[in-house]
Amino acid sequence: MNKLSIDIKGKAFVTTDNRTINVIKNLSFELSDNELVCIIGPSGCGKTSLLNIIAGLDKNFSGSVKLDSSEANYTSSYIFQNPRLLPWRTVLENIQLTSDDHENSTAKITHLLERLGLENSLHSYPQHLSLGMQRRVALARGFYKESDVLLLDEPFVSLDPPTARNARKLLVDLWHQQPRNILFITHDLDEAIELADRLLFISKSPSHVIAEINIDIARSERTELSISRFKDLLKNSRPDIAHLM
Amino acid sequence: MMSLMSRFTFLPPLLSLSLLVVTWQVLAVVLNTAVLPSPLLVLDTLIAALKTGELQHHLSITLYRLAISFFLAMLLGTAIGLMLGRYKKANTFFDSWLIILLNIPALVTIILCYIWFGLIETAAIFAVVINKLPNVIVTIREGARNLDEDLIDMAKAFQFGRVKTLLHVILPQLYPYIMASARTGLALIWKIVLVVELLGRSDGMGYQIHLFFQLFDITSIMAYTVSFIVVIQFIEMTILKPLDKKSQRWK
Repeated sequence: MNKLSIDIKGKAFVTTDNRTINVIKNLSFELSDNELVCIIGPSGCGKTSLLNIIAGLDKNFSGSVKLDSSEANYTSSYIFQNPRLLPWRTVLENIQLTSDDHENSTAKITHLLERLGLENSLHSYPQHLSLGMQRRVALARGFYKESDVLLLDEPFVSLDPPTARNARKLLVDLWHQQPRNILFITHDLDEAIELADRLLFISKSPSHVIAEINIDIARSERTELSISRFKDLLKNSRPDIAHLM
Repeated sequence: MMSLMSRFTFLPPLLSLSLLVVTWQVLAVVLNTAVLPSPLLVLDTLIAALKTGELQHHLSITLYRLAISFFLAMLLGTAIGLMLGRYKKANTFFDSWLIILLNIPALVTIILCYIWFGLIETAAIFAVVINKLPNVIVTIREGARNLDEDLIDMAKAFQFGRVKTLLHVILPQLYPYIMASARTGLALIWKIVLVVELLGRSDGMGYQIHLFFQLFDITSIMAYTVSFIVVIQFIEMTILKPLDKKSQRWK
């Protein structure tokens, strides 16, 4: 189960000079069985608006987001483009705050941070950590809270390539350990092919889904070579979305 | 010299205070007039007033009024300031009220409070709160306008709820503004409390100073003032400074 159905009929906003801009129109897809889906689209196509709607930050849209086709509330966690940690709380407190379940929380978080190589920073304040470390804390925070869907908005975008590669590996590891639906936004097709079960290509605004591609390479075989071969194949077989790659 | 200065950080303020007292003493000796008693004479009077217990009695009553009106003004001011800073419509609507409140002379609110509510304790406290409130609101509103929206969105995305968001996301950001208005608030409130006591109470520092004024007892006026300055300095050193330090530890 845990099928999340996203069906956004329309999302528009009014600019300061009173023009109405349609960002999203008839964008719908489903997430189910703890899959990892990457969304790819041109910049300014409303990808962040989409995540904000799913996260419940933006209620001003027409359409619906439903879990298992019921009206019941679903829970989400969010890993933003920048880490967004509370500077006045320690790493431990930052993660603890996301959940009301305090039983063994310190032990659980310590375990999570150990996996991310942050076991010595439990009581540090975020400002004393490097950006790469702060992003790993944000990753830990996203995973610590049990949620029906985890949203990631280009979380590795300003990291240097080795650190980013490492972070992607950690993401997949954590996801295997604590399976859940993941929606990952990126503009980097290589990154998307490396991570995803499925790719969603989104048009420029007003955006909607124009292609769904399943990635059939086994996770253990996702090397640079196989990824670039998959990309070439995709470009040749789907000329309609080649401009998004 | 520099390293010596930095090692004894209490030295420069001590020196400047001594200079002030010496200047006072010299002036008192040179002018030799009844309207400027020497520091020694003031100290004598201060000790005498402490011995009779009169000073402690009036000082504690004034401090009690100061504490109550201070906390009321801070609490209400923070709540209202936060609301006005966060909701544009409320702010545009109430902005003119705020400007009026800010500009009514303290004396007018005090007299009006006494006329409307009578010469009672509640009227006195209310008058002080009304005088301090707009300053707190304006400062906190500024802070509330500068809140980090990214962090507030984060709190929403992780379903923090109202209490958690207030305690862990909003108040820490308002802290510098709260401290600033607490500092200026203490200074402003004690001045107003004295006027309130002078006009309509039969105890407290303001009442006593009024009494001394009628008796032309300048030495006692200065002795009471000195005692109050010492108390305020004590509050600054033992409460405000450590609070500052504690809140800055993450920086």
